[in-house]
Amino acid sequence: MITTLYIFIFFIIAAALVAVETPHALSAVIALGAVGFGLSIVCLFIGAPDIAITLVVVEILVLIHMIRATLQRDIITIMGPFSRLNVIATMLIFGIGVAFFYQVALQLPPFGQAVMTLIENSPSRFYLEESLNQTGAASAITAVLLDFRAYDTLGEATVIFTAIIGALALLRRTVKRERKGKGAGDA
Amino acid sequence: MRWAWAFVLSFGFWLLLTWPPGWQELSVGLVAAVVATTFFGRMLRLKTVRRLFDPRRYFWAICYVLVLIYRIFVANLDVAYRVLHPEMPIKPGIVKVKTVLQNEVAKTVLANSITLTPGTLSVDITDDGYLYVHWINVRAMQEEEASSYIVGRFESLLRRIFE
Amino acid sequence: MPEKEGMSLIVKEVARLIAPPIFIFGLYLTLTGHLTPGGGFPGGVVFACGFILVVLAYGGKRAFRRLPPEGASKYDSGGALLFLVIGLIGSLVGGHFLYNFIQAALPGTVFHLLSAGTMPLINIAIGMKVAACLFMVVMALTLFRLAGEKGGES
Repeated sequence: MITTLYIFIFFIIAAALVAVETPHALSAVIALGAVGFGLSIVCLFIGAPDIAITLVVVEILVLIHMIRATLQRDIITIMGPFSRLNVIATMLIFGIGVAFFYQVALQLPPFGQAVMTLIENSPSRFYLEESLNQTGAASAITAVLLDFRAYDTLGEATVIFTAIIGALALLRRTVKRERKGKGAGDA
Repeated sequence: MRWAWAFVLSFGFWLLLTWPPGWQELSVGLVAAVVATTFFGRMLRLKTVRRLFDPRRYFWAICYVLVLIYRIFVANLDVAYRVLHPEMPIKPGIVKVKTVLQNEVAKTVLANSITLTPGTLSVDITDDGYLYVHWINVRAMQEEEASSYIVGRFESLLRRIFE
Repeated sequence: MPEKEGMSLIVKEVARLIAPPIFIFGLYLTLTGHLTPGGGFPGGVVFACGFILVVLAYGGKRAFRRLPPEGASKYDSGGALLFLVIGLIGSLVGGHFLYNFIQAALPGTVFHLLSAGTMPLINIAIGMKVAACLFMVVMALTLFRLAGEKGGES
């Protein structure tokens, strides 16, 4: 079980490295798709089927779109002069980051053990024990999302709403201008 | 008529998802099927529905699946032989083949079967019944001969299923 | 030969066969979110995928006649408003925002479709919102790309 998980995690890391290093845009997109599908399988293994469903669907969508977008063009690789100082500085910062992360990782509970089993009177325990009695929902995840923490979900929906408005505002202006230009050309 | 059939089909799919049905599932499913019908009912073709009630078509469909599995198995061995052979005896190329199938679903199933069979890959399809197929080992350049190699195996069964 | 719109016949046929089941599966995920894994977010994404599949297969012009992108903004705002209205009714009836007033008044049987009070309703609202949002984003990207290509030609 854990071994399979590790195999998938190494597969994801390898695919991510391929995505970064490959010179072709299409290969990078496909490697990115491998990362996403690997992640969704990992989600299935650690018991999050709803996230796995969403990941798979979003991954297919993004993959199709990225392939359609990158099919005709390629990445322009910029090769600059090799600077030793840059490499040393990058390695130093990376090393410091790894050292800090290691310190944090020592504090984390072991893999597969939920934080709520370590802390007395944690709210997660209350949610798990009381969700059925208090909300009548069979799925504890939905009970937390839409009852105990519904206000957070509202905030989440607001974030999506705002992001969409921003994206549409940015993209639509260009489209309108291009259309106007084309219409004038046709007429 | 078309809308009624779209409603019935979507309601049936809903029942498959929520089996076993109680009165709650049935009543919510009615609403769900109405919503699905308003969005996608236009995409249904009545001819397709009529074909659903012919038991002979189901028999030929089962035969077709068996034939397809056999073809995929044989083609797998063939491609494996070509890959493992030290001289790699391949002769790749794109051939144009003609299909007599008229039905669009049948053409789609044919193209997908060609793609599923290792060694051949359908590249494009034209409106007047020509398929462009990439073949790992082109045995016949002529249209009729290539058609009998690639399409002929599936065509007769597909015509019995879909037309 | 008519003007080639959308993708080849194969893609169109497969989209025609598979888009309605995708849509109903999205409905199922959304409506049974309080019983099984699923809910408004995955359900909405699945809805949007069904629509996007149709648009990609049949091409912009023909699909937009039936599914105008402007209509999506109505569903988006409608979902957000439904969520807020449920919350406000809760605050009027039960004293605090998003109070589960239906569950308090008529508790349903657990493991049945009509249970858990306001949760299925909120799930529907979220599903509408997410589907409309994702559909609009992808359509905006597609239109943007098409416009860019046309600009490049002229």
